[in-house]
Amino acid sequence: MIRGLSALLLLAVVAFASEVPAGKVSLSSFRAIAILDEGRIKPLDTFARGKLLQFSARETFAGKPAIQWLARVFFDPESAADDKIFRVENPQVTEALGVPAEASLRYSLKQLEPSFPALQELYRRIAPLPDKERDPVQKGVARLYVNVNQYLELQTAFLFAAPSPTLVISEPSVRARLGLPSHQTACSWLELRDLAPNLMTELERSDVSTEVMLAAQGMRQMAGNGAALSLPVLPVKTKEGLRWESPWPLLSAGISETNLLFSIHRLSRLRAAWISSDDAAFQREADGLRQEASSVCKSAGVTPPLKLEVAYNLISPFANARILYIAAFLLLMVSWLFIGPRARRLVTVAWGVILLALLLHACGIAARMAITGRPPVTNLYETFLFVAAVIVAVSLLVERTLGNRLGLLVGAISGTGFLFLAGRFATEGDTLRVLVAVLDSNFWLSTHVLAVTIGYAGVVLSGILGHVWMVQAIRGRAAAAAQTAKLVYGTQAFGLLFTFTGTILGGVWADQSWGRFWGWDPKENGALLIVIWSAMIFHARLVGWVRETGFAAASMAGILVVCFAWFGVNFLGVGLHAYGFSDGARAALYAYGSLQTLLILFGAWFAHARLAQSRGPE
Amino acid sequence: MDRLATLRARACRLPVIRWFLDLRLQILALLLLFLLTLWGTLYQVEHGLWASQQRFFYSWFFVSGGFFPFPGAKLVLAYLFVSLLLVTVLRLSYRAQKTGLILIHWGLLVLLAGGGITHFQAVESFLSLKEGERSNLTSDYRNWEISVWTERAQATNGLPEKRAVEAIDTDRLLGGKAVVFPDAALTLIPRRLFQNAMPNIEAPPSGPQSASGFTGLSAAAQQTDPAQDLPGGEFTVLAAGATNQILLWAGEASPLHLGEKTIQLRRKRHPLPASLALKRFTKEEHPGTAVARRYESRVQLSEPRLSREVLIRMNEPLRFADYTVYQSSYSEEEGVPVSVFAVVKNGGRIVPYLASVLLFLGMLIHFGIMLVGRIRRREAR
Amino acid sequence: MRSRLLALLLPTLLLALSCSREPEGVRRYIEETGALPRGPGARAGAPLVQFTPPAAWERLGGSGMRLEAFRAPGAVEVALARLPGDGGGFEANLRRWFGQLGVAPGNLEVQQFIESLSNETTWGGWPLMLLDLSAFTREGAPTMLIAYAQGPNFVLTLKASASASALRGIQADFNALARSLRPGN
Repeated sequence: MIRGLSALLLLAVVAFASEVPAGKVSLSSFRAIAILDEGRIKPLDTFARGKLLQFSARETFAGKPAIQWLARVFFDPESAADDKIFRVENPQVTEALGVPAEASLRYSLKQLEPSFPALQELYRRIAPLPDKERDPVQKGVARLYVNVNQYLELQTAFLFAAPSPTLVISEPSVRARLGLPSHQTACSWLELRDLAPNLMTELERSDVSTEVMLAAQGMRQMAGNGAALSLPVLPVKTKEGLRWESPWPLLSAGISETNLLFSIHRLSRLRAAWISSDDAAFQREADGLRQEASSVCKSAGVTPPLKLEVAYNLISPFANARILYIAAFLLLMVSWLFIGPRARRLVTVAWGVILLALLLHACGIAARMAITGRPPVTNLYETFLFVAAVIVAVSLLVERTLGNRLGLLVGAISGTGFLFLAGRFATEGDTLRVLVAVLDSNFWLSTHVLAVTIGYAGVVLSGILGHVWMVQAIRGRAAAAAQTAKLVYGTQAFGLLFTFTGTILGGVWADQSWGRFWGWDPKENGALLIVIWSAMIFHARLVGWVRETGFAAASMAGILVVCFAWFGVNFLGVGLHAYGFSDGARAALYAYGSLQTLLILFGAWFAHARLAQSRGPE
Repeated sequence: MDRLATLRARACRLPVIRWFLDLRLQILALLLLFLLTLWGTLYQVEHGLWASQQRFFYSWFFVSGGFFPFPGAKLVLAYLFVSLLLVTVLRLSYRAQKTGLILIHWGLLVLLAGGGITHFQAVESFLSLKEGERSNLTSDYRNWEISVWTERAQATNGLPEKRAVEAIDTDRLLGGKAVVFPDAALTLIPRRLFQNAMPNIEAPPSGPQSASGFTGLSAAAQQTDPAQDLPGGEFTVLAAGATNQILLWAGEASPLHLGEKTIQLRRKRHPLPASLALKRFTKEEHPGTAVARRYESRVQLSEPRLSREVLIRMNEPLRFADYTVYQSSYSEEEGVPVSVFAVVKNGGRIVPYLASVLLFLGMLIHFGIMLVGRIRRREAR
Repeated sequence: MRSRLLALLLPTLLLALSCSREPEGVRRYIEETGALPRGPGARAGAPLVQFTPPAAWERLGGSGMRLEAFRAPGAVEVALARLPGDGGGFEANLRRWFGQLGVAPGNLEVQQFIESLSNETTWGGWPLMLLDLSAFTREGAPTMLIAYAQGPNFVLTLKASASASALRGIQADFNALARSLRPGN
């Protein structure tokens, strides 16, 4: 039975990782096409996920991967316009726009279309306001406006290749003279562009048809509209390095480079293959585009690991590691129901599952490092991943020495919890995004961030073990509690050591980068608070102000101090990195802070009383 | 040896020293520091970094809520420093076993001392140079001076033109108290002084003269960060037998000419023992964005004996004498890049590094000894 | 006893340390005059351009290229705009304003007008030209006051259009406002 379960779990991982071709063509080559977005060369797969996440706060649409949605937006905008993808959280925004509210909070382009004038007008009034001065409704309007505009850009990116109702030439004789195939009447912009000399001849005729004149006018209009549409998928090597061109601006400016024109025709054929569900042709064109782009990149000395990034996206190591952590947790829970060899076997499986999870987790972090070429922790999202990994690893070490399932339990719980939090923060956009100059790789920067982050992990682990101690104490397990108390102490010391080291290294970095070792800046203060708090507990223990109970309670409170240091900057909105705290997260953090405080106060009091009772008068 | 021990023991019993050696008081000091750090961080949300530093961290005392005095971080840190010093000197046992701990204690002491040294003597200023420009002076962020010099004919020998400047800091000025600039033979008597001033464009044209043509100054509300204040004042100038009423204001770009004497209220200048010339500024952006990937300045550093070319970029500052020159920002003027450097003069710059080395060494030895001890005990078992 | 004395002495010493900086007198230094004075660089959120509006003028706010609009006494609207680079050049702008007034003076007349303009600088040290276009318009027809300042990489224009008599009433304030233009940091 147990073997069956673990096989099932492995299967789940494989199922998550493997790509099931949905729709009529396989998108495996298409998703690896390179695009320049937000200063970074990324595969279309990441681009699609990023856009969908930005529009609808989800990475999938209707249960299908984002890349499928993007392909529809590119190649079949008409049907994609019905997809409910624009998430509008604030009902006052839809009210102001006169759009009937949806329970799912998501709206399709078609639903929003009648309100475009209203949206435009509202945004015009909001635009001059700096973001900080906007109220939630204004923020919602601005966000929707930006999203709709970006969507429209995506939707029109491939229109040069689509037969257009404004470019209709139906008269068979004219079609024949122009060299158009006889079966369709609507032409695409690109098609007519390729026949430009014939079109000119046609326009010079004394009996020029109205259709031709209208088509010529339509072409000029479309070129004007397309001039600013950006879809930078075509790299060009220049003296300064790579420049990324978009099809529409190239076409409307009158392109001369044959290789670029060739790539644009490939894009057009790609679209045609998708429409006609011709899988072989689709693969051929997508692969061709990828190879052309990668050879240009290589000649400029750039080799973005696109395949690796696609694999990283598909495997989603952190989401799957989270599932494994949950599974390990459940196995442990079940193991407590049994005794003897059965329980032992369950624990062994739990060990295996959690090790597998940690391996996946670590591979994910390594993949991120390989993709960005940066140290493992450079933004808030990555701190969660890293702290989770450190806590799980230390917990496993604890388990190895004690072997009482406590380390496994704490590891499984914290792995799940922190990866869950990381998932919440991934909705901020591309988590692999480029960095401003001062945060770019530097020895002191990376070492101090790593040391402080490991320090966070130590202090948080100590706090979690404080919770465990409290449960044991309340249950009257004095001996077990005493053993846990030692762990609380040890992990706290570990945390203090690393936070302190990181703080000093941070000073060195600050001196190297801005010329002062210490400046009482929020991030520095945060780390200092942890150091002082931790030092205070150890000294208070020396003079006997705190003993077992006090130390555990203070360690639990240490989690709150870490929270302040960790999110304080983002939370308070001071400093450069004040992005990414929604009002919901703020409320959640407040709620957590209050609950944790109450828990510490009452729990400690209760635990203390129970311990005194169970140990009896000495 | 014994005499030293008795001396140490006797010193420990002295009442004042006992306060500093009291662990409970030290923990309270740590608690105070914790509260101050937390409070000072929260305070920054409303009032900014500078105001928070002044109030909580660079003060001995401050008054909270208009009434309650509260010790500042400077006082708490001074107490902790003295405590740590006394503990290290009087209490710590100097045995080989404790080498790690001893180093950690000394490391902490040096770290705190380094903070003190930096706090009391470091000077921060900035220098912004357009490509092709050179300067031997940096400008202060918050302090202003009144500078006086005599205009001379242009130098023609190709060397950078130099002038001898006399200056007085504006915070030394007192209303009515005459300041004599001996070289320029000019006397300046402040009439009215403003911490932050704004020209009054509706003042009668017959008022005192200014470089930009306004004839009145009025007080403006002071900003929370004085770096944003533009001080000014009304002065009487006695020079070459003539008496002039003048207005000086920090917001003016050009100086006021009184005959061949020139006078200006400007950012306090700090002379460098060298001059810096910006040869080329380059900036690289992440493709397709306005996010700077890196920027750097090629600078000619001319010290009295040696002139050399140096590259200053983010995280790679130029260091010479007690000075460190950092690439801090950039802008553009008429299409020509302007590079902004932060310049820090700090004689104690090396101290925190020394402290870091002591601390790391100490921790390494301490935990090494602990580990060896543990392994031995395990083997014994 | 001795300890109490010490306890008193210590804070006094600390206090003395903190205010022991003697006021010094006039400093002397040598200045190489190879660089223009500048601020420490634009701070985020600081306005690009600052000015001092006359007290009687109402500020209407601005956005984008239009930095600020004012309502001067006599319901005259005045707008301050910022154009990138050289703003298309002074003469081109002048032609544009003539076009807005519906007049088309000859080249010679325009050249003479340009030469007659006085060259001033604003508080920020930017070259400033103050233009009164009433000489080109008919009596009673709307006319314009223009201030044209050339900043480091932009041009500022301050423009008021109304009847000549209304503009005469605000001209002194208008010129003072134009002279007060300066960098935002």
